[in-house]
Amino acid sequence: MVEIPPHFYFPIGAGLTYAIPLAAALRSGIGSLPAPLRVVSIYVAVTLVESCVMTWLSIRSIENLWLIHIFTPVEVFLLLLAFARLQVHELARTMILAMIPLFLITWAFLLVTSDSLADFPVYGRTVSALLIVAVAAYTLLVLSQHALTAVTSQPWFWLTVGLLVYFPYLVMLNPLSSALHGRSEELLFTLYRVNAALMIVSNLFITRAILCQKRQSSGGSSSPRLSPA
Amino acid sequence: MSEAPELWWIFIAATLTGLILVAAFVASIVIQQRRFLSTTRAFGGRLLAAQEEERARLARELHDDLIQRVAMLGQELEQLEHSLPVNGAGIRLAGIREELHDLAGEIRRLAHRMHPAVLDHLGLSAALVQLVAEFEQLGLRVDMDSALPADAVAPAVSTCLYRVAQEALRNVVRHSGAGRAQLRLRPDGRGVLLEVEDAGRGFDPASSNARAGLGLTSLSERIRLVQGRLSIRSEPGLGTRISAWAPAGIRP
Repeated sequence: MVEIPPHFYFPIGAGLTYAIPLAAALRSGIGSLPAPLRVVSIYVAVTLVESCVMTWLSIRSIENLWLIHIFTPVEVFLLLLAFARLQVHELARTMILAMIPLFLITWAFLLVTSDSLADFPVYGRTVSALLIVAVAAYTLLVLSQHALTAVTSQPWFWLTVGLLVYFPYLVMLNPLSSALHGRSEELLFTLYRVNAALMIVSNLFITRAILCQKRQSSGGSSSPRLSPA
Repeated sequence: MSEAPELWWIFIAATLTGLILVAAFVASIVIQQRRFLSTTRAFGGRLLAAQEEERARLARELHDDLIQRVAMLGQELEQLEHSLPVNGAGIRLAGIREELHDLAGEIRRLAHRMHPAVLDHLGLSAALVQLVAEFEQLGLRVDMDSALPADAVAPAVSTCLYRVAQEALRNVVRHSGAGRAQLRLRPDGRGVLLEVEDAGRGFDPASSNARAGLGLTSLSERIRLVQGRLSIRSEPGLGTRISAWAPAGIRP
Protein backbone atom coordinates (compact mmCIF):
# COMPACT_ATOMS: atom_id res chain seq x y z
CA MET A 1 0.00 0.00 0.00
CA VAL A 2 1.48 3.32 -1.08
CA GLU A 3 1.01 6.22 1.30
CA ILE A 4 -0.22 9.49 -0.24
CA PRO A 5 1.56 12.61 1.12
CA PRO A 6 -0.97 15.00 2.81
CA HIS A 7 -0.12 17.92 0.49
CA PHE A 8 -1.39 15.79 -2.42
CA TYR A 9 -4.89 15.33 -0.95
CA PHE A 10 -6.39 18.59 -2.21
CA PRO A 11 -4.96 18.47 -5.78
CA ILE A 12 -5.96 14.78 -6.07
CA GLY A 13 -9.46 15.56 -4.79
CA ALA A 14 -9.74 18.47 -7.25
CA GLY A 15 -8.75 16.21 -10.14
CA LEU A 16 -11.54 13.86 -9.17
CA THR A 17 -14.12 16.67 -9.38
CA TYR A 18 -14.17 16.11 -13.17
CA ALA A 19 -16.47 13.26 -12.15
CA ILE A 20 -19.14 15.85 -11.15
CA PRO A 21 -19.84 17.26 -14.66
CA LEU A 22 -19.41 13.76 -16.07
CA ALA A 23 -22.03 12.41 -13.65
CA ALA A 24 -24.36 15.29 -14.60
CA ALA A 25 -23.88 14.49 -18.30
CA LEU A 26 -24.48 10.79 -17.75
CA ARG A 27 -27.59 11.53 -15.70
CA SER A 28 -28.93 13.84 -18.42
CA GLY A 29 -28.01 11.26 -21.06
CA ILE A 30 -24.96 12.25 -23.09
CA GLY A 31 -26.77 11.35 -26.31
CA SER A 32 -29.58 13.78 -25.55
CA LEU A 33 -27.20 16.72 -25.00
CA PRO A 34 -26.52 19.11 -27.89
CA ALA A 35 -23.31 18.49 -29.85
CA PRO A 36 -21.12 21.08 -28.00
CA LEU A 37 -22.00 19.67 -24.58
CA ARG A 38 -21.51 16.10 -25.82
CA VAL A 39 -17.95 17.05 -26.79
CA VAL A 40 -17.45 18.76 -23.40
CA SER A 41 -18.68 15.58 -21.68
CA ILE A 42 -16.06 13.58 -23.57
CA TYR A 43 -13.48 16.21 -22.54
CA VAL A 44 -14.33 15.89 -18.82
CA ALA A 45 -14.28 12.08 -19.10
CA VAL A 46 -10.84 12.12 -20.76
CA THR A 47 -9.55 14.68 -18.22
CA LEU A 48 -10.83 12.54 -15.34
CA VAL A 49 -8.95 9.54 -16.71
CA GLU A 50 -5.84 11.71 -17.17
CA SER A 51 -6.10 13.00 -13.57
CA CYS A 52 -6.45 9.47 -12.23
CA VAL A 53 -3.45 8.19 -14.20
CA MET A 54 -1.40 11.26 -13.17
CA THR A 55 -2.26 10.62 -9.53
CA TRP A 56 -1.53 6.91 -9.78
CA LEU A 57 1.89 7.59 -11.32
CA SER A 58 2.59 10.40 -8.87
CA ILE A 59 1.90 8.44 -5.69
CA ARG A 60 4.16 5.67 -6.99
CA SER A 61 6.84 8.29 -7.65
CA ILE A 62 6.82 7.46 -11.36
CA GLU A 63 7.55 10.30 -13.78
CA ASN A 64 4.21 11.68 -15.01
CA LEU A 65 4.92 15.02 -16.68
CA TRP A 66 4.95 13.34 -20.12
CA LEU A 67 1.23 12.72 -19.66
CA ILE A 68 0.49 16.48 -19.54
CA HIS A 69 2.40 16.87 -22.82
CA ILE A 70 0.39 14.09 -24.46
CA PHE A 71 -2.90 15.32 -23.01
CA THR A 72 -2.48 18.94 -24.20
CA PRO A 73 -3.37 18.38 -27.92
CA VAL A 74 -6.28 16.13 -26.92
CA GLU A 75 -7.63 18.88 -24.65
CA VAL A 76 -7.23 21.55 -27.34
CA PHE A 77 -8.85 19.32 -29.97
CA LEU A 78 -11.92 18.59 -27.82
CA LEU A 79 -12.44 22.12 -26.48
CA LEU A 80 -11.95 23.83 -29.84
CA LEU A 81 -14.33 21.31 -31.42
CA ALA A 82 -16.94 22.19 -28.77
CA PHE A 83 -16.39 25.94 -29.30
CA ALA A 84 -16.55 25.57 -33.09
CA ARG A 85 -19.98 24.00 -32.71
CA LEU A 86 -21.14 26.89 -30.56
CA GLN A 87 -20.34 29.58 -33.12
CA VAL A 88 -23.08 31.51 -34.86
CA HIS A 89 -20.84 32.75 -37.67
CA GLU A 90 -19.63 30.24 -40.23
CA LEU A 91 -16.29 32.05 -40.63
CA ALA A 92 -15.58 31.87 -36.89
CA ARG A 93 -16.44 28.16 -36.88
CA THR A 94 -14.06 27.49 -39.77
CA MET A 95 -11.31 29.56 -38.16
CA ILE A 96 -11.61 27.69 -34.87
CA LEU A 97 -11.55 24.32 -36.63
CA ALA A 98 -8.52 25.47 -38.62
CA MET A 99 -6.76 26.30 -35.33
CA ILE A 100 -6.76 22.61 -34.36
CA PRO A 101 -4.23 21.39 -36.98
CA LEU A 102 -2.29 24.65 -36.62
CA PHE A 103 -1.98 24.07 -32.89
CA LEU A 104 -0.96 20.44 -33.41
CA ILE A 105 1.86 21.57 -35.69
CA THR A 106 2.92 24.25 -33.17
CA TRP A 107 2.75 21.78 -30.29
CA ALA A 108 4.85 19.21 -32.15
CA PHE A 109 7.37 21.90 -33.10
CA LEU A 110 7.60 23.18 -29.50
CA LEU A 111 7.93 19.64 -28.16
CA VAL A 112 10.82 18.93 -30.47
CA THR A 113 12.60 22.29 -30.09
CA SER A 114 11.79 23.74 -26.64
CA ASP A 115 9.80 21.45 -24.34
CA SER A 116 10.96 18.18 -22.88
CA LEU A 117 8.75 15.17 -22.05
CA ALA A 118 10.61 14.84 -18.74
CA ASP A 119 9.93 18.44 -17.70
CA PHE A 120 6.95 20.77 -17.27
CA PRO A 121 5.28 21.59 -20.63
CA VAL A 122 6.30 25.24 -20.38
CA TYR A 123 5.63 26.35 -23.95
CA GLY A 124 3.06 23.93 -25.40
CA ARG A 125 0.70 24.11 -22.43
CA THR A 126 0.98 27.90 -22.23
CA VAL A 127 0.14 28.28 -25.92
CA SER A 128 -2.80 25.87 -25.55
CA ALA A 129 -4.15 27.73 -22.49
CA LEU A 130 -3.84 31.10 -24.27
CA LEU A 131 -5.68 29.68 -27.28
CA ILE A 132 -8.52 28.32 -25.15
CA VAL A 133 -8.83 31.59 -23.17
CA ALA A 134 -8.99 33.61 -26.41
CA VAL A 135 -11.60 31.36 -28.03
CA ALA A 136 -13.69 31.14 -24.81
CA ALA A 137 -13.68 34.94 -24.40
CA TYR A 138 -14.60 35.45 -28.07
CA THR A 139 -17.41 32.89 -27.81
CA LEU A 140 -18.78 34.49 -24.65
CA LEU A 141 -18.68 37.95 -26.22
CA VAL A 142 -20.33 36.94 -29.51
CA LEU A 143 -23.01 34.65 -28.07
CA SER A 144 -23.97 37.22 -25.42
CA GLN A 145 -24.66 39.68 -28.25
CA HIS A 146 -27.02 37.18 -29.89
CA ALA A 147 -28.81 36.01 -26.72
CA LEU A 148 -32.46 36.99 -26.41
CA THR A 149 -32.70 35.81 -22.80
CA ALA A 150 -30.47 36.39 -19.76
CA VAL A 151 -26.99 35.02 -20.45
CA THR A 152 -26.96 33.37 -17.03
CA SER A 153 -29.72 31.02 -18.21
CA GLN A 154 -27.56 29.81 -21.10
CA PRO A 155 -25.34 26.70 -20.91
CA TRP A 156 -22.63 28.32 -23.05
CA PHE A 157 -22.30 31.13 -20.50
CA TRP A 158 -21.42 28.72 -17.67
CA LEU A 159 -19.18 26.68 -19.94
CA THR A 160 -17.14 29.66 -21.17
CA VAL A 161 -16.95 31.26 -17.71
CA GLY A 162 -15.86 27.90 -16.24
CA LEU A 163 -13.00 27.70 -18.74
CA LEU A 164 -12.15 31.40 -18.29
CA VAL A 165 -11.79 30.86 -14.55
CA TYR A 166 -9.32 27.99 -14.95
CA PHE A 167 -7.33 28.40 -18.16
CA PRO A 168 -5.81 31.88 -17.59
CA TYR A 169 -4.13 30.38 -14.54
CA LEU A 170 -2.76 27.55 -16.67
CA VAL A 171 -1.02 30.15 -18.82
CA MET A 172 1.39 30.85 -15.99
CA LEU A 173 1.21 27.54 -14.09
CA ASN A 174 3.75 25.54 -16.06
CA PRO A 175 6.35 28.27 -16.64
CA LEU A 176 6.18 29.13 -12.93
CA SER A 177 6.31 25.46 -11.90
CA SER A 178 9.37 24.99 -14.03
CA ALA A 179 10.99 28.09 -12.53
CA LEU A 180 10.14 27.12 -8.94
CA HIS A 181 11.06 23.45 -9.23
CA GLY A 182 13.93 22.91 -6.80
CA ARG A 183 13.86 26.56 -5.75
CA SER A 184 10.76 26.97 -3.64
CA GLU A 185 8.84 23.76 -3.02
CA GLU A 186 6.45 25.52 -0.63
CA LEU A 187 5.38 27.99 -3.33
CA LEU A 188 5.19 25.20 -5.89
CA PHE A 189 2.69 23.32 -3.72
CA THR A 190 0.71 26.53 -3.18
CA LEU A 191 0.65 27.02 -6.94
CA TYR A 192 -0.96 23.59 -7.33
CA ARG A 193 -3.37 24.19 -4.45
CA VAL A 194 -4.67 27.34 -6.17
CA ASN A 195 -4.78 25.39 -9.42
CA ALA A 196 -6.88 22.73 -7.66
CA ALA A 197 -9.28 25.34 -6.21
CA LEU A 198 -9.80 26.93 -9.65
CA MET A 199 -10.27 23.48 -11.18
CA ILE A 200 -13.07 22.75 -8.70
CA VAL A 201 -14.80 26.10 -9.46
CA SER A 202 -14.41 25.46 -13.19
CA ASN A 203 -15.91 21.98 -12.89
CA LEU A 204 -18.85 23.35 -10.91
CA PHE A 205 -19.50 25.89 -13.67
CA ILE A 206 -19.32 23.17 -16.35
CA THR A 207 -21.74 21.08 -14.29
CA ARG A 208 -24.07 24.09 -14.14
CA ALA A 209 -23.87 24.33 -17.95
CA ILE A 210 -24.93 20.70 -18.33
CA LEU A 211 -27.71 20.97 -15.73
CA CYS A 212 -28.88 24.23 -17.28
CA GLN A 213 -29.25 22.46 -20.63
CA LYS A 214 -31.01 19.52 -18.99
CA ARG A 215 -33.56 21.84 -17.35
CA GLN A 216 -34.23 23.59 -20.67
CA SER A 217 -34.67 20.27 -22.47
CA SER A 218 -37.08 18.75 -19.98
CA GLY A 219 -38.92 21.98 -19.29
CA GLY A 220 -39.13 22.99 -22.93
CA SER A 221 -38.27 26.51 -21.96
CA SER A 222 -39.02 29.35 -24.29
CA SER A 223 -35.39 30.49 -24.12
CA PRO A 224 -33.14 29.90 -27.08
CA ARG A 225 -30.97 26.91 -26.35
CA LEU A 226 -27.38 26.02 -26.90
CA SER A 227 -27.15 26.20 -30.66
CA PRO A 228 -26.82 22.69 -32.01
CA ALA A 229 -24.33 22.31 -34.81
CA MET B 1 6.77 32.73 2.88
CA SER B 2 10.37 32.53 4.07
CA GLU B 3 11.60 31.22 0.72
CA ALA B 4 11.72 33.68 -2.18
CA PRO B 5 9.24 36.30 -0.85
CA GLU B 6 9.42 38.28 -4.09
CA LEU B 7 8.16 35.18 -5.96
CA TRP B 8 5.24 34.85 -3.55
CA TRP B 9 4.22 38.44 -4.19
CA ILE B 10 4.51 38.04 -7.96
CA PHE B 11 2.43 34.90 -7.74
CA ILE B 12 -0.30 36.45 -5.53
CA ALA B 13 -0.43 39.63 -7.61
CA ALA B 14 -0.59 37.75 -10.92
CA THR B 15 -3.30 35.37 -9.69
CA LEU B 16 -5.44 38.15 -8.24
CA THR B 17 -4.99 40.32 -11.35
CA GLY B 18 -6.05 37.42 -13.56
CA LEU B 19 -9.11 36.64 -11.45
CA ILE B 20 -10.12 40.33 -11.29
CA LEU B 21 -9.76 40.69 -15.07
CA VAL B 22 -11.87 37.59 -15.74
CA ALA B 23 -14.50 38.72 -13.20
CA ALA B 24 -14.61 42.23 -14.71
CA PHE B 25 -14.92 40.84 -18.24
CA VAL B 26 -17.77 38.48 -17.31
CA ALA B 27 -19.54 41.11 -15.18
CA SER B 28 -19.38 43.70 -17.97
CA ILE B 29 -20.91 41.20 -20.40
CA VAL B 30 -23.70 40.29 -17.98
CA ILE B 31 -24.46 43.94 -17.16
CA GLN B 32 -24.43 45.06 -20.81
CA GLN B 33 -26.63 42.17 -21.87
CA ARG B 34 -29.14 42.87 -19.08
CA ARG B 35 -29.29 46.52 -20.11
CA PHE B 36 -29.77 45.55 -23.74
CA LEU B 37 -32.50 43.03 -22.86
CA SER B 38 -34.34 45.46 -20.64
CA THR B 39 -34.28 48.13 -23.38
CA THR B 40 -35.42 45.77 -26.13
CA ARG B 41 -38.12 44.26 -23.91
CA ALA B 42 -39.47 47.67 -22.94
CA PHE B 43 -39.46 48.68 -26.59
CA GLY B 44 -41.04 45.37 -27.64
CA GLY B 45 -43.69 45.76 -24.96
CA ARG B 46 -44.60 49.26 -26.12
CA LEU B 47 -44.65 48.07 -29.73
CA LEU B 48 -46.95 45.14 -28.96
CA ALA B 49 -49.24 47.28 -26.82
CA ALA B 50 -49.43 49.92 -29.58
CA GLN B 51 -50.14 47.21 -32.13
CA GLU B 52 -52.97 45.77 -30.03
CA GLU B 53 -54.38 49.25 -29.41
CA GLU B 54 -54.31 50.06 -33.12
CA ARG B 55 -55.92 46.73 -33.99
CA ALA B 56 -58.68 47.35 -31.44
CA ARG B 57 -59.25 50.87 -32.79
CA LEU B 58 -59.45 49.65 -36.38
CA ALA B 59 -61.74 46.78 -35.36
CA ARG B 60 -64.04 49.26 -33.56
CA GLU B 61 -64.11 51.56 -36.58
CA LEU B 62 -64.84 48.67 -38.91
CA HIS B 63 -67.60 47.44 -36.63
CA ASP B 64 -69.16 50.74 -35.56
CA ASP B 65 -68.80 52.71 -38.77
CA LEU B 66 -68.17 50.68 -41.90
CA ILE B 67 -70.51 47.78 -41.10
CA GLN B 68 -73.30 50.21 -40.11
CA ARG B 69 -72.90 52.14 -43.35
CA VAL B 70 -72.95 48.96 -45.41
CA ALA B 71 -76.06 47.83 -43.50
CA MET B 72 -77.76 51.18 -44.18
CA LEU B 73 -76.89 50.90 -47.87
CA GLY B 74 -78.45 47.45 -47.83
CA GLN B 75 -81.66 48.81 -46.26
CA GLU B 76 -81.86 51.61 -48.82
CA LEU B 77 -81.37 49.12 -51.61
CA GLU B 78 -84.12 46.95 -50.13
CA GLN B 79 -86.51 49.92 -50.09
CA LEU B 80 -85.53 50.77 -53.66
CA GLU B 81 -86.03 47.13 -54.63
CA HIS B 82 -89.59 47.17 -53.21
CA SER B 83 -90.43 50.38 -55.08
CA LEU B 84 -89.36 48.91 -58.41
CA PRO B 85 -91.38 46.44 -60.47
CA VAL B 86 -90.05 42.87 -60.50
CA ASN B 87 -88.00 43.03 -63.65
CA GLY B 88 -84.32 42.90 -64.66
CA ALA B 89 -83.35 45.99 -62.61
CA GLY B 90 -85.10 44.69 -59.44
CA ILE B 91 -83.41 41.31 -59.70
CA ARG B 92 -80.05 43.02 -60.16
CA LEU B 93 -80.69 45.18 -57.08
CA ALA B 94 -81.47 42.05 -55.04
CA GLY B 95 -78.15 40.60 -56.18
CA ILE B 96 -76.27 43.77 -55.12
CA ARG B 97 -78.06 43.68 -51.75
CA GLU B 98 -76.91 40.07 -51.24
CA GLU B 99 -73.33 41.10 -52.12
CA LEU B 100 -73.53 43.93 -49.57
CA HIS B 101 -74.77 41.47 -46.95
CA ASP B 102 -71.80 39.19 -47.65
CA LEU B 103 -69.46 42.20 -47.54
CA ALA B 104 -70.81 43.20 -44.10
CA GLY B 105 -70.21 39.64 -42.88
CA GLU B 106 -66.66 39.68 -44.24
CA ILE B 107 -65.91 43.03 -42.55
CA ARG B 108 -67.35 41.70 -39.28
CA ARG B 109 -65.08 38.63 -39.46
CA LEU B 110 -62.08 40.85 -40.28
CA ALA B 111 -62.85 43.11 -37.31
CA HIS B 112 -63.19 40.05 -35.08
CA ARG B 113 -59.86 38.64 -36.24
CA MET B 114 -58.17 41.98 -35.58
CA HIS B 115 -59.55 42.26 -32.09
CA PRO B 116 -62.41 40.10 -30.80
CA ALA B 117 -64.79 42.45 -28.97
CA VAL B 118 -66.02 39.50 -26.92
CA LEU B 119 -62.61 39.48 -25.23
CA ASP B 120 -63.32 42.93 -23.76
CA HIS B 121 -66.99 42.30 -22.99
CA LEU B 122 -67.28 38.65 -21.93
CA GLY B 123 -63.71 37.66 -21.08
CA LEU B 124 -61.10 35.15 -22.19
CA SER B 125 -63.17 31.94 -21.90
CA ALA B 126 -65.95 33.27 -24.12
CA ALA B 127 -63.44 34.59 -26.67
CA LEU B 128 -61.73 31.19 -26.76
CA VAL B 129 -65.09 29.45 -27.34
CA GLN B 130 -65.52 31.66 -30.42
CA LEU B 131 -61.98 31.00 -31.52
CA VAL B 132 -62.51 27.24 -31.21
CA ALA B 133 -65.70 27.54 -33.30
CA GLU B 134 -63.70 29.35 -36.00
CA PHE B 135 -61.09 26.60 -36.11
CA GLU B 136 -63.78 23.92 -36.16
CA GLN B 137 -65.05 25.52 -39.36
CA LEU B 138 -61.59 24.86 -40.79
CA GLY B 139 -61.97 21.15 -39.96
CA LEU B 140 -60.03 21.00 -36.68
CA ARG B 141 -61.86 19.34 -33.81
CA VAL B 142 -60.97 21.13 -30.57
CA ASP B 143 -61.85 19.72 -27.15
CA MET B 144 -62.03 22.75 -24.92
CA ASP B 145 -61.93 22.62 -21.17
CA SER B 146 -62.18 25.96 -19.39
CA ALA B 147 -62.69 26.58 -15.71
CA LEU B 148 -62.17 30.31 -15.55
CA PRO B 149 -64.60 33.02 -14.43
CA ALA B 150 -65.26 35.80 -17.01
CA ASP B 151 -63.48 38.58 -15.10
CA ALA B 152 -60.64 36.47 -13.69
CA VAL B 153 -57.92 37.87 -15.95
CA ALA B 154 -56.67 41.41 -16.60
CA PRO B 155 -57.30 42.64 -20.20
CA ALA B 156 -53.61 42.63 -21.18
CA VAL B 157 -53.22 39.03 -20.03
CA SER B 158 -56.47 38.01 -21.77
CA THR B 159 -55.25 39.44 -25.06
CA CYS B 160 -51.87 37.78 -24.62
CA LEU B 161 -53.31 34.32 -23.86
CA TYR B 162 -55.88 34.70 -26.66
CA ARG B 163 -53.07 35.38 -29.15
CA VAL B 164 -51.11 32.38 -27.82
CA ALA B 165 -54.15 30.11 -28.30
CA GLN B 166 -54.76 31.59 -31.75
CA GLU B 167 -51.16 31.00 -32.88
CA ALA B 168 -50.99 27.53 -31.30
CA LEU B 169 -54.23 26.38 -32.99
CA ARG B 170 -53.10 27.92 -36.27
CA ASN B 171 -49.88 25.86 -35.99
CA VAL B 172 -51.94 22.71 -35.37
CA VAL B 173 -53.92 23.33 -38.57
CA ARG B 174 -50.91 24.35 -40.68
CA HIS B 175 -48.13 22.08 -39.49
CA SER B 176 -49.16 19.24 -37.15
CA GLY B 177 -51.30 17.19 -39.52
CA ALA B 178 -53.56 16.40 -36.54
CA GLY B 179 -57.33 16.64 -36.95
CA ARG B 180 -57.91 17.09 -33.25
CA ALA B 181 -56.51 19.28 -30.48
CA GLN B 182 -57.13 19.96 -26.79
CA LEU B 183 -57.38 23.44 -25.34
CA ARG B 184 -57.34 23.80 -21.58
CA LEU B 185 -57.68 26.98 -19.54
CA ARG B 186 -57.60 26.96 -15.77
CA PRO B 187 -56.48 28.99 -12.76
CA ASP B 188 -53.00 27.97 -11.61
CA GLY B 189 -51.67 29.51 -8.44
CA ARG B 190 -51.77 33.29 -8.82
CA GLY B 191 -52.16 33.05 -12.55
CA VAL B 192 -53.83 31.34 -15.45
CA LEU B 193 -52.55 28.34 -17.36
CA LEU B 194 -53.41 27.85 -21.00
CA GLU B 195 -52.48 24.60 -22.71
CA VAL B 196 -52.88 23.64 -26.34
CA GLU B 197 -52.00 20.05 -27.17
CA ASP B 198 -52.09 17.91 -30.27
CA ALA B 199 -50.92 14.42 -31.19
CA GLY B 200 -49.58 15.47 -34.58
CA ARG B 201 -46.17 15.18 -36.16
CA GLY B 202 -44.37 17.41 -33.63
CA PHE B 203 -41.04 19.15 -34.16
CA ASP B 204 -37.67 19.72 -32.53
CA PRO B 205 -38.10 22.75 -30.20
CA ALA B 206 -34.31 23.29 -30.26
CA SER B 207 -34.36 24.07 -33.97
CA SER B 208 -34.22 27.82 -34.44
CA ASN B 209 -35.81 27.47 -37.90
CA ALA B 210 -38.78 25.62 -36.42
CA ARG B 211 -39.17 28.27 -33.70
CA ALA B 212 -39.15 31.10 -36.23
CA GLY B 213 -41.50 29.30 -38.63
CA LEU B 214 -44.02 28.54 -35.91
CA GLY B 215 -44.03 32.07 -34.52
CA LEU B 216 -42.80 30.74 -31.16
CA THR B 217 -40.30 33.55 -30.65
CA SER B 218 -43.01 36.20 -30.83
CA LEU B 219 -45.20 34.12 -28.50
CA SER B 220 -42.33 33.90 -26.01
CA GLU B 221 -41.92 37.66 -26.16
CA ARG B 222 -45.65 38.28 -25.67
CA ILE B 223 -45.72 36.01 -22.63
CA ARG B 224 -42.56 37.53 -21.21
CA LEU B 225 -44.09 41.00 -21.44
CA VAL B 226 -46.87 40.01 -19.06
CA GLN B 227 -44.27 38.35 -16.83
CA GLY B 228 -45.45 34.87 -17.72
CA ARG B 229 -43.77 31.68 -18.90
CA LEU B 230 -44.07 29.74 -22.13
CA SER B 231 -43.12 26.11 -22.31
CA ILE B 232 -43.05 24.00 -25.46
CA ARG B 233 -42.85 20.25 -25.27
CA SER B 234 -42.55 18.55 -28.60
CA GLU B 235 -40.72 15.73 -30.28
CA PRO B 236 -40.86 14.69 -33.90
CA GLY B 237 -43.69 12.18 -34.24
CA LEU B 238 -44.93 12.62 -30.68
CA GLY B 239 -47.11 15.74 -30.89
CA THR B 240 -46.80 19.14 -29.28
CA ARG B 241 -47.93 20.77 -26.07
CA ILE B 242 -47.69 24.53 -25.67
CA SER B 243 -48.27 25.75 -22.13
CA ALA B 244 -48.53 29.44 -21.32
CA TRP B 245 -48.76 30.65 -17.75
CA ALA B 246 -49.40 34.30 -16.94
CA PRO B 247 -50.17 36.10 -13.69
CA ALA B 248 -53.89 36.86 -13.68
CA GLY B 249 -53.73 40.45 -12.56
CA ILE B 250 -50.72 41.93 -14.31
CA ARG B 251 -51.34 45.30 -15.92
CA PRO B 252 -48.27 46.42 -17.91
